[in-house]
Amino acid sequence: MILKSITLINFQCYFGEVTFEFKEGLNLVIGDNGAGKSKLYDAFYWVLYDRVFDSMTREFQLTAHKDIRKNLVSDKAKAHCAPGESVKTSVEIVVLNPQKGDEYILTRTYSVARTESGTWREPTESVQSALFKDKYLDARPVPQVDIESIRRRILPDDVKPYMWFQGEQVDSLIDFKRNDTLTRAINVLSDISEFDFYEEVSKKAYETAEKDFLRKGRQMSSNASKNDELASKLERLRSELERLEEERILAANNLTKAREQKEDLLGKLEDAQRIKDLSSKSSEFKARLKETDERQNKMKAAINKNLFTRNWILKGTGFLVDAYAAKYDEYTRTRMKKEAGQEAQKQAMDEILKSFRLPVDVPEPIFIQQMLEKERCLVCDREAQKGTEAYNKIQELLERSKSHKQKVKPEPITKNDFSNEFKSLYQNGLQLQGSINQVDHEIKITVGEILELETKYKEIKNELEINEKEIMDIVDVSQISTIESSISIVIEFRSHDNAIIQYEKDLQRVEIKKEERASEINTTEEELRSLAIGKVPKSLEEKVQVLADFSAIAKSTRARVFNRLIEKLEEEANKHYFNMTAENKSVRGRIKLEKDLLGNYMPKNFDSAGLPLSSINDSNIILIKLAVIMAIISAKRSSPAAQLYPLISDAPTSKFGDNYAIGFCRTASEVYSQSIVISKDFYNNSDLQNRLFDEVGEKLGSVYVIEPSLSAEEQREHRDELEVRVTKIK
Amino acid sequence: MEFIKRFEDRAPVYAKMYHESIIDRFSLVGGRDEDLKQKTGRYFSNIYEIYTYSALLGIKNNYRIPLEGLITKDFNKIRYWQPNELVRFVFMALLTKSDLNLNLVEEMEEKDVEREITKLKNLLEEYTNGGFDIIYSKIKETPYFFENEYCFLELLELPLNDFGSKKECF
Amino acid sequence: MTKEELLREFLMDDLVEQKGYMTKDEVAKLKFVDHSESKLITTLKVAILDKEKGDSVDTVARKLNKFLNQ
Repeated sequence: MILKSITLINFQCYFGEVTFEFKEGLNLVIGDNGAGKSKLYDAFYWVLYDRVFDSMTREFQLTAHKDIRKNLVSDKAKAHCAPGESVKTSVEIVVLNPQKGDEYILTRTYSVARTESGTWREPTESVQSALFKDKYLDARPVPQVDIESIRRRILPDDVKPYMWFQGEQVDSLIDFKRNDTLTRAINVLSDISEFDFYEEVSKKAYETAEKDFLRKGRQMSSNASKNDELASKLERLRSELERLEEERILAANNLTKAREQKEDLLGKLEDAQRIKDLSSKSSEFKARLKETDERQNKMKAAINKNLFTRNWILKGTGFLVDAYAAKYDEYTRTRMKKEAGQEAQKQAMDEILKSFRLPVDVPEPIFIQQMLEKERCLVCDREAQKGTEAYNKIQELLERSKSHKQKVKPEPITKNDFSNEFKSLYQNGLQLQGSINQVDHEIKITVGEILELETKYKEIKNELEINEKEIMDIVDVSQISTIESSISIVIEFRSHDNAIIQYEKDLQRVEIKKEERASEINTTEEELRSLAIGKVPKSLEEKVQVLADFSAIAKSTRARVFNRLIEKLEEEANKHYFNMTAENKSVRGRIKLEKDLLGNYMPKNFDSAGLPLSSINDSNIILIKLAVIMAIISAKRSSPAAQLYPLISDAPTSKFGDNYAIGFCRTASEVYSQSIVISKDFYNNSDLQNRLFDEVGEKLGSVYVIEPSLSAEEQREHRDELEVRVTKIK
Repeated sequence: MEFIKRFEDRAPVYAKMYHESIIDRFSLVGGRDEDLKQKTGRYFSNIYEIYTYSALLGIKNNYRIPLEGLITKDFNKIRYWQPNELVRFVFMALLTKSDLNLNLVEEMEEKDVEREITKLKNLLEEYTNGGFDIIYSKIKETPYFFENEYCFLELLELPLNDFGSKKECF
Repeated sequence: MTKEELLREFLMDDLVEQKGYMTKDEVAKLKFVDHSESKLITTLKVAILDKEKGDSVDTVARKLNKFLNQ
C-alpha cells in the first residue's frame, strides 16, 4: 500500500486545508521544533485509530478524552467561528494498492459547536467514512462494518508499532527495561507462537499419559504404600520446585533492577563528566568569540584611521590632480614664454658677436687675455699686434665679455617667483595620485576581511549555542544541576554495588537449591516408574515414551527456531545499524542480542573484540533501537511488511549529529518501499538537504518544509492566530 | 615657500550650527582610549581632520555654500594641520577651483597676494561648509546611517552628479 | 510454514537422530504424505493436523492421548 496523500482541515495547528502528497521512496517533512511535526503524525494516527498523542499521559488517547476533544479543532478556525455556529476538523488519507490499482480514501471528521454564550459543545465521537475507488476510478462508499478491515489492510496491528512510530515511542518499543520487548517483536517476526503451542500440547499430553501410567502402575503395584509414599514425596518436591522457581525469579528481578540502577547512576556520573567537558568547550567558544570580536573592532577602528594614514580620504579625487596639472601646465608655458623673451635678448647679443666672427658664445675673459698676450686672434688665426685695430677689438671684447656676463646674469622674469611652490604642489599631487589609484582596492580588501571575521563570529556563536543546548538537554534528562551533585551519585553508586553482590549470592543459592530439587524429582520419578514397569501394558509404556520424546523435541525445536530468529534479527539489525552509522564508524561496535537472567533477549552493544561497549553512548542506544525496529520488519521474509506498508517516523536523530540523520534516512529508503520521515534535522540546512538528496537519488519522494506562522512566544499570546505554512521543495 | 606659507598662516572658520551636530559628535580631541572613541562614534581625533574631510567632500562634489550671515567659530591655523601632504593636496584642489591666475599672481604686489590668499581661504571655508551640509542632511534623512563604523567611508562613495551645478551657489 | 516444513522442522532436531528415529538425510527427503511406521512421526502429524482445526491445547493433548491408545 502506498500512502498517496494526507489532507488536514483545521486539524490542531493546521488552519485551513493543507495537503501533503507522497510518492514511493523516501518522503521528508522538515520542520523545526514547534512547527507542527508531531501534529502531522497525530493526523495519521487519528484518521486511522481515532487517537491523538496526549502529552500529559504520554499516550495516544481517543477523541472522547476531554483533553483531546478540546484541542482537535484549530484554534484559529475556532476563533473565526461565531456563536451559534459550528466548525469542524477532518483528516483524509488516500491509500493506493499498486498491484491492483485501486484506492481507499479514509476520512475522519469531528465537529464542535459554539453556543450563544460562547462556550464550546464538544461531542465525544468523531465520524469515520471510507470510499473505495477501483482502478477504473469508480468510487463507492464502504459500509461502516468493513472500515475496520480496511484499516487493518492499510496497516496490520502487529506490525503497526514498528512501522509508525514517533521519537518518544522508540524508547518504549525497544525498552531496555521491559524484558519481553524482543519477545513481542519476535512474535511479529515469525510463527514462534505456533511452536509454543506444540510445546504446550506435547507437555500436556505427556503429563496426562504419565499420570495415567503411574496410576495404572500403582493399581498394579505390589507395593501400594511405597507407591503412595513416592507419589506424595514427588508432589511435595514439585511444589517446592515451583516455590523455588518463584524465589529465583524474584532474586533475578532484584538483581536486574540493582544492576539497572547502577547503570543509571553510571550514566549520571558520565553525564556529570560530559557536562563538565561541554562546559569547558563553551568557555573555549566564548574566548574565541571575544577574540574575534576584538579583532573585528580593531579593524573597524582602523578604517577611520586609514582615512588619514592611508589617504583613503582622497578616494575619487584623482581628477583634481589632472585639473591642477592642466593649470600648472598653462602656468609653465606662460612662464616659459617670459623666459623665452629674455632668451631673445640674449640671441640678439649673440648675433652682434657673430659679426665679429667670434664664436656666438662669448669666450671666457681668460681666453681673451691669452689672445692679448699672444698678440694673436686664436679664432681666425691672424696676427693681432698691440696697437693694431685687431688688437683693440679683442681688448674691447674683453670689456664686453665682462659686462656681458653681468648683463646675462638672469634677471627675475616675474615680481614673485612661486614656481617652486607650484611645482611642489604638482609633485605632491602626482605622488598622492599613486595612493588614490590604490584606495578602492585597499578598501575592498579591508572590508572583505572584516566581513570574513563577522561570518566567523556567527559560526562560533552558532556552535556555542548548540553546545549550550546540549548541556541543557543533558541536565534536563539527568537532573544534575551542578558538578557537586555528582559526588552524592558516587556514594549511591557504591551502595548499589554492594547490593548487587548480595543479590548475586542469593540467586546462586536459589539456583543450586533448584537443581537439587530437580534431580531429586527425577530420581523419585524414576523410582515410581520402576515400580510400574512390567506391570502396565506395553502400549501405555510406549505411549508415555513417545509423548516424552515429543515433548522433548517440541521444546528443543522451539528453542532452536527461536534462536534462529534471534540470529536473523541480530544480523538484520547490524546491517541497518552499520548502514546508519556509515559516516561515523569510530564508536559504534556491533549489536548483540543477549539472553538475560530471566530468559529474555536484550540488545547490547559490543566492540570488535566481543567486549561490551559502555552503554552510555546515548546516540548508539537510539540507533540500536531503530536498527532493531527496522530489522523486525525487514527480517520477515514471508510477508514483507517493508514492501507492503509505509514507514511513518519522527525519529530522534537530531541529538546525534547530521550524519546520523542522513544514515537513518538512507537506510529507511533502502529498507522500506515507502517511508515518510518527519524530521527536524534538515531544517534550515540546505547543505545537509542536498547531501541527503544526493545519497538517496532516485528513491527520493516528496519533500516538504513546514513552519509555524508564529514564534513560540507569539504562540503563547496569540494562539488563535496560529497556522502552519507548508512548502513543497521537491 | 612664500605663497603656501601665507595660506598656512590662516585659521579658517566653520558655521557654529555644525559644531554640536557634526564637529563635537564625530570628533574627540585628545583622549587615549581608541576603543571608546570608536564605540561612541567619534572617529576623528581632531577638528582639522573632520574639517579636511568635509572640505574634500565639498570639493569632490563641487558643492560650496557661503558663510555669509552665519555665526562662525575658528580653530587651529592650517600650519598645524596634519598630515602636511594632505593639506597641500587640498590647497592644490582649491587652486583648481579658483579663478586665480598663477602667472598673474606672480606679478602682484604683496597686499594683492594677501588678498588672493584670503580668497582661497574663503573658498576653503565655503567648500567645507558644503561638505558639512552634505553630512548634516544625511543625518536628518537617515540618522542610523551614522551608527555604522563605515559611515564616513561610505560618504566618500557619493557620486559627483548629486551635488553638481544644481547647488552651485555662485 | 507449510505442514511439511513444520514436520521437518521438528524432525531436524538433534534428539530425533540421537534417539534413533531418523537420520537428517532421511528427514530432508521426507514428505508429509509418506506413510510412516514411527509412532513419533504419526503423533506429530496428528498434532499438526489437529491444530489446523483450531482446537485448544487441552483438546489436542487429549486427542493425542486417545490416538496413541490404539
